[in-house]
Amino acid sequence: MTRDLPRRPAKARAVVASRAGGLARRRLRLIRALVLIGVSVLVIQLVNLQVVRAAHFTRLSSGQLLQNVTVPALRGSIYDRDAQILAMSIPTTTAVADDFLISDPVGEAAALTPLLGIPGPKLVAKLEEKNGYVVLSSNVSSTSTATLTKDQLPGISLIASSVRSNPDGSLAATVLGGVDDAGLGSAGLEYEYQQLLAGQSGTERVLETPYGVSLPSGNVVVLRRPIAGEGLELTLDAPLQYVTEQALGQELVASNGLSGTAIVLDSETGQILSMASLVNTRQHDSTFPAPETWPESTGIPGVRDAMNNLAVTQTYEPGSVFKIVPFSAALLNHVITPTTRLSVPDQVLIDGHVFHDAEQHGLEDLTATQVLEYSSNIGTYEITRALGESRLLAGVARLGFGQPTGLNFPGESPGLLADEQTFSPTDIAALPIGQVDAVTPLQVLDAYNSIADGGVFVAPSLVRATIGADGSMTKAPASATRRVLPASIAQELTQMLVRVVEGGTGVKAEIPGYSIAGKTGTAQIPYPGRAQYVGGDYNATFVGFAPSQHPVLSMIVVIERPTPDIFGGDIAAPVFARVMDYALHRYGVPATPGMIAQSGTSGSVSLLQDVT
Amino acid sequence: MASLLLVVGGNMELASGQLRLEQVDSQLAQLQSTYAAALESVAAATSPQALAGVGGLRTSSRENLSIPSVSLRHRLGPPALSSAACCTGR
Repeated sequence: MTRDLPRRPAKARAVVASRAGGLARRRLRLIRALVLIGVSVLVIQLVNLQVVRAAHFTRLSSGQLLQNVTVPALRGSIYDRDAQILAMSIPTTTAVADDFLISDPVGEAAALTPLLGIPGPKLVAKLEEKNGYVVLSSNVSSTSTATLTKDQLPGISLIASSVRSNPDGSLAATVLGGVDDAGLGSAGLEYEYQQLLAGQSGTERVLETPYGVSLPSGNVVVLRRPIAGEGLELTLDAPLQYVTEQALGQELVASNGLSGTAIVLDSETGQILSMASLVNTRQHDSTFPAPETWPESTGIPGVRDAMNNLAVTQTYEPGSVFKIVPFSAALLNHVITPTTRLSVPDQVLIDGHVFHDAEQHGLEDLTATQVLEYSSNIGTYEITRALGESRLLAGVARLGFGQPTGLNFPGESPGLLADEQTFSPTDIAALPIGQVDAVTPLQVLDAYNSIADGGVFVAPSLVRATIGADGSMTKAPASATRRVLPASIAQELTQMLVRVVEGGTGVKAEIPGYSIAGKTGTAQIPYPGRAQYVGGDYNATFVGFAPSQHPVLSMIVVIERPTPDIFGGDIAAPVFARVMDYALHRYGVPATPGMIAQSGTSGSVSLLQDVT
Repeated sequence: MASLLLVVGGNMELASGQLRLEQVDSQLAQLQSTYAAALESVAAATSPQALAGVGGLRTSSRENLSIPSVSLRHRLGPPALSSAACCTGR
């Protein structure tokens, strides 16, 4: 059902329409005004952002995306004395993943596996770590780098880096030291010369995400170019170093020694030609870390490079090689001459302690030379007793014991010696025979080298020159020298030391064609923290130089805890002979006149003239 | 308009040049890496250990007589290289 409504009159309808039109116009004006206000706000904000505060926001943006990146300089190389590379850095590439940007870890891992040489499952695990910065490989090959650069895999960045390499393997490892994961020198010469080898890193301004991933842009601004590190030319001679390590290592195995040290020195310049520190891991005990954690092998089963450069960082009681101190002091103070005769029993009692010779004997009538030749402890005591405490201690200091050698090798020990305050009544017998003191093998060698060099102490050195990035070479300053003994005393001592090798305890150091001067030492090993010695444990030493008339090379060999043979003359002297024989021929050192015919080494006389 | 086009064109050329420079830098780095790796392999091949492996370690007195001597005071000179061909095809 419908109902008809009454219709409005026409005038009334016109009024209603007029009212509706006015309302619409007002609404339209309102909307226009609102739009105008909105647009105005936008324009004002736009001007504010783009013009008024543009610099501020540009700075904020740059701070987020423009990063100053440090570009490491290529580390300098280390060479031996004839430019054989011992350590070098190889520019390489590090591949880094921003795994937040990787949507298909399995697919990317499949693409990366052949390029990085990392198994697929391992790569997938790395790509799924979700930490934004995952180092996939720090040594990407140049061909793989080229492929990765071309492929532009999502989330994968390439960063320039370098790896340190020792082409000669473990040769001279304890001298060279090493670098840590950050490329900083952590031991040895790599540590000592860190600043010089490292060079100066550069700086580049690049577009990067806050996670360090480079953004695709060619807009790299080089703020400072890296300056490559300088190189080091060492005094070491790689072939001689190798022979030294091999001879020492083989003797370590043969003598069941625990560790060994050997150094060969250029007598005149103090330059170290070889320096070896080895450990026989088959003799190791619980005081050492597990062998598998030790540095690379030397090629001799069980023999590895020591953790430290034992030649300068490890002190020991040297034993009879220390007798050079009382003998030099006694000769200097005219207490003895080489022919002074002494009555020597085989033992003496001092302050309740018995000191004795290595072998029992009756009362012997020996010359001072014979006391040294046979390494008589009691004969040495008799000489020292006449010398006195103060002149003995002066002799110790004169030959450089208790002081740094001047090498400045990291961790080098100055040794530990008795002084006038700590000198006990028994020290007058113990100190001259190399007990109650702690010295390094290098200090012992330096003392003997002073005699070889006519009474002049020459500070040892390991660096012969530095090599700039442009190849320019700067020679290292000559080693410091000081006269410690008159030449005449050095000559007398040399003659006495020759007798040790010709007919005394050091006959196994003889080398056909050459006159050798040297001294043996077989020293007991003190118990740590106790005033007593370890039963049955000894350090075997031989130190000497050749040729005795015009010394060119000095050398020391120390072997720790050999067994069952213990004597320096039996264990260390043969190593000396083997290495010194090689070195004398390598450097063309003329044979000793009068010894040529019997040895048949006349062929070497004409090889070189500059070493005489 | 011409100025605008000039600026845009210049910027494009600059960006292109920077990209080329980056590529050259990358190639240089790769060449340096290859060179260093080659140098390392030569050093390893001429190391005393490698040479001793080929010729055996000679340290007995009789053997030492035949080893070539080097100077203790002077560096080894550079190797003597000849421009002549080392051999013929016949």
